[in-house]
Amino acid sequence: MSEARNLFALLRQSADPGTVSAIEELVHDAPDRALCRVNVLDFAAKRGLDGERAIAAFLHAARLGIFELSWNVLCPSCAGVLDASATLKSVNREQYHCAWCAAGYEPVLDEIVEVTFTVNRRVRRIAAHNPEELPFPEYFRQIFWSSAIDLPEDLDQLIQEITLDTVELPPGDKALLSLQLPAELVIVLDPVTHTTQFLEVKGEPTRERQTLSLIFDKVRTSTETIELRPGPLRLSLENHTDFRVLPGLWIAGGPLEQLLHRRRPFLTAKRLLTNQVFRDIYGADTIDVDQRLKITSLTFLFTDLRGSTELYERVGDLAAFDLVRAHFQVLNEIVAAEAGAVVKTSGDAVMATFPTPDRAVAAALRMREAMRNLKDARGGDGLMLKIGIHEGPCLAVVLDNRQDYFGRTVNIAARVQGLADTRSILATRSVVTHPTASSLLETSGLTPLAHHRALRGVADEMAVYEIP
Amino acid sequence: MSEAKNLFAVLRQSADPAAAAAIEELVRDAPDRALSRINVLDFAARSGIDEERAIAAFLHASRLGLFELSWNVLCPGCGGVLDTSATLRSVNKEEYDCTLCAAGYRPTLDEMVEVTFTVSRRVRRIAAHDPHDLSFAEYFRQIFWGSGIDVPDDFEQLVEEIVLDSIELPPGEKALLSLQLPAEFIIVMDPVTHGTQFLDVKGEPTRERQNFSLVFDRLRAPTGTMTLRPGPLRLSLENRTDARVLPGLWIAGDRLHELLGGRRPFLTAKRLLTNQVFRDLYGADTIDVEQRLKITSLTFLFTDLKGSTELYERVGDLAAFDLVREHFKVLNEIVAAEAGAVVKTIGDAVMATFPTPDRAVAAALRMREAMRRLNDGRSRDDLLLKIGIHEGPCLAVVLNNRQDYFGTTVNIAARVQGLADSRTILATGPVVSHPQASTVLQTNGLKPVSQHRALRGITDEVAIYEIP
Repeated sequence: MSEARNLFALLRQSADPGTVSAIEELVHDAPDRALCRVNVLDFAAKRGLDGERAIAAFLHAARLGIFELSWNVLCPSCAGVLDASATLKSVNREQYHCAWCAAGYEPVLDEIVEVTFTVNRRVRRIAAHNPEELPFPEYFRQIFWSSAIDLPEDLDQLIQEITLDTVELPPGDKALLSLQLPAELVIVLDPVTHTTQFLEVKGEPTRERQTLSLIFDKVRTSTETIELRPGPLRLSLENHTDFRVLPGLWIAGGPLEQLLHRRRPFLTAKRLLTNQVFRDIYGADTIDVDQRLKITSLTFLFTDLRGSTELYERVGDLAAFDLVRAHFQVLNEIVAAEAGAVVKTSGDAVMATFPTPDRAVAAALRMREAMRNLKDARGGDGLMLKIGIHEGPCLAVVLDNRQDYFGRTVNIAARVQGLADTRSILATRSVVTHPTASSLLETSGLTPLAHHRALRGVADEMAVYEIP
Repeated sequence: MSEAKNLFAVLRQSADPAAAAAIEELVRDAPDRALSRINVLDFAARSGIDEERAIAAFLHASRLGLFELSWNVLCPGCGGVLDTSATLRSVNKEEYDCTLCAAGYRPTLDEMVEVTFTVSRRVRRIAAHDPHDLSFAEYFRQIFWGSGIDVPDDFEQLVEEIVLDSIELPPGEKALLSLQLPAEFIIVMDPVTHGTQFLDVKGEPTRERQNFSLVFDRLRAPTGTMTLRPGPLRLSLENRTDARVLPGLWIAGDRLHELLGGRRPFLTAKRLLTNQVFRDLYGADTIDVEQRLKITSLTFLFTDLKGSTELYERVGDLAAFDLVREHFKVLNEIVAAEAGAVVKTIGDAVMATFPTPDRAVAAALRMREAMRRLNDGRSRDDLLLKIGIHEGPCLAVVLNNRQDYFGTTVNIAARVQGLADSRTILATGPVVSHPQASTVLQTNGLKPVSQHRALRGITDEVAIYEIP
């Protein structure tokens, strides 16, 4: 643990000390399962820590090798992990299939990809480092289900209630289960291979023994639902893989539904991409050149300095550069403080992203205020910022060796910024009607004024609101 | 040499084979002095290799450790090297003084900073690796003068003629020189410390012995002028440094001026910064965050896709992204082929730099043609490029982890692009009146048409021409 102690000393230099202490305590004292696929938002909430600081601290910890970062593709319906990888580059399928829910999903980065942190085995050895040895309920808790599901402490007991039977089947082994089928929808599921068989048990109860055999191999096949009658079943299970499987018969009833609906917020891939610390540490290395990952909703904020050309002419390129750089620094700090990230600068313009519209609006208000201060401190006349905000779907891509975003939403956001005048903040309808954003404006005593403006290249006239 | 052979095999994979072969031959057969501070342009001209390919090959060779890249600050007056460093980051003084010319110069990356390549000592040992063992003449050739001075092969003979006397003075030693002064302007100069003293020998010849003493130390004292009369001089010299010095008395006559006037083209820092291979290999690592380096003349080309927003709406973000990326690839290739570099992309816009206006004009014409072919291949007519070109002074800086450029010139170039319609190329007065650029236009049968348009934020009217 002395290596670990050094790492935590290093971590304290780059992350919030209070958060670092909480993480160090976690690594030192928490049970194994609390160190596998840590849900950072839940960790922060339980300890009363700021979410952004917690994310930053875990990112720095991952960079130092204290934790390993994992990108997990989730089933939005059952919250199971469909695929897990150390890099977002592996999220490269058009669709991910959930055997349990018998449905396919496109991997959008908002809700379908989560980011979790597992303690590094060199720092602390935990049971989940060898998932093959985890007991049945712990495999479900730590490996099968994502951090989006808030599993009860007594998961063990609950599983006993909602499963008819479970068995641990070593590689190459067979098992024969004799059981009584109730009149329910029963799901035979192995969480390791994600093999599923639906059994619809209905009709007249029978005393005749029904038989069924299932084979587990690495090929995920989807099978038709089998109809059976209530009564005795002999289930033959065969493991054709070279690892342990954990088949069980789950009753798809109220208690299971309830369990799957116990959701909690989790760190999405989107939130991480639009986090400044993440961009600073991981940069363009997140996405492959050929990847184009969908995001359902991302908020874009563009700024531009008004009258910068006159400014350059008046004070000269050198002095103008220093001023522009000072203004970049101020904007960077505000963006980072509002959970956003600066994607790039161009001339004296900034393109930034935020996870939600309210954060972008809050940042815009702070930017406007900060420019006033920058101007006063410099004694010159005026840096005035033109700001535009828009929210919508986009693609996360790599362009020009940089993690970037692409699509109509980005274009519109830039165009909205282009319409802004001195000191005005322009935002689209989806931004000002976002509940948190609108209450933020109300609290600030600001009423957005609607302007119907045609945006070049955008077919429909858009409602653009001016935040005075 | 077997390690070197492997390195050359690797080099042939990334660089032009003919250029790699010529470099390999040079390293194997050339005299030592031809491997110290190589002037790549001169090498290319002599070996009949394309300049751009030669530059690319030397950059790759340096990356592999075959050569060491050196950034040398030159005196624009005498072509001497005022400072040398393995990185542009060390070029951080406001002014560099040349004692020989008794003048100070602000470093600009156009003509005052050269980039040379010296063979690595692991690949081949040459005399210049130990400059303090070089002979008087070779020290001047290989160390003192920049690669822009075309030092004749019979330089040693020339030295006999224009140097009255010279001496090699080991660290800490003193020497007395007795000589007859002719009625000339004489420069006593040591190339190691750059210590210099002017002797203006004029008036009635005298038989009386005149005395003068000179101390060489690391402090570059300002150059003084002493008036003496023709006749005997006893010159006492003292070396207070811990290195050998090489003081000599140079007759500042026609022969010296002829020597210093014998210039040849050399690889400037500017040309390297705006080289795509250099950007790809060295990236943002070239300039410090705090540095702002002046360039007297750089040509900026901005492009933007017309109607891209409609395109995204019509074909959807995913298909639009593939198209936009394909167009980026085409533009990148054209920029690199015309000795330019893509600085960044913004949405579907590109910002590129070129060493001279003619290269930018040639690139613009090729881009227009390439887009036509891209459209023909798709049987559509919706990828139209708006292009703007401007030339002028700017600052080379680092912004947002990227080597970037700043200043009024960059702003104007972007504004000019903003005025362009589909398929037109707009260029400013300095671009179309550039002799080679105007030749390029003439050869293509294109006549720039003057447009009187005001640019937002620019007080003086900028002459804008449309290239039809």
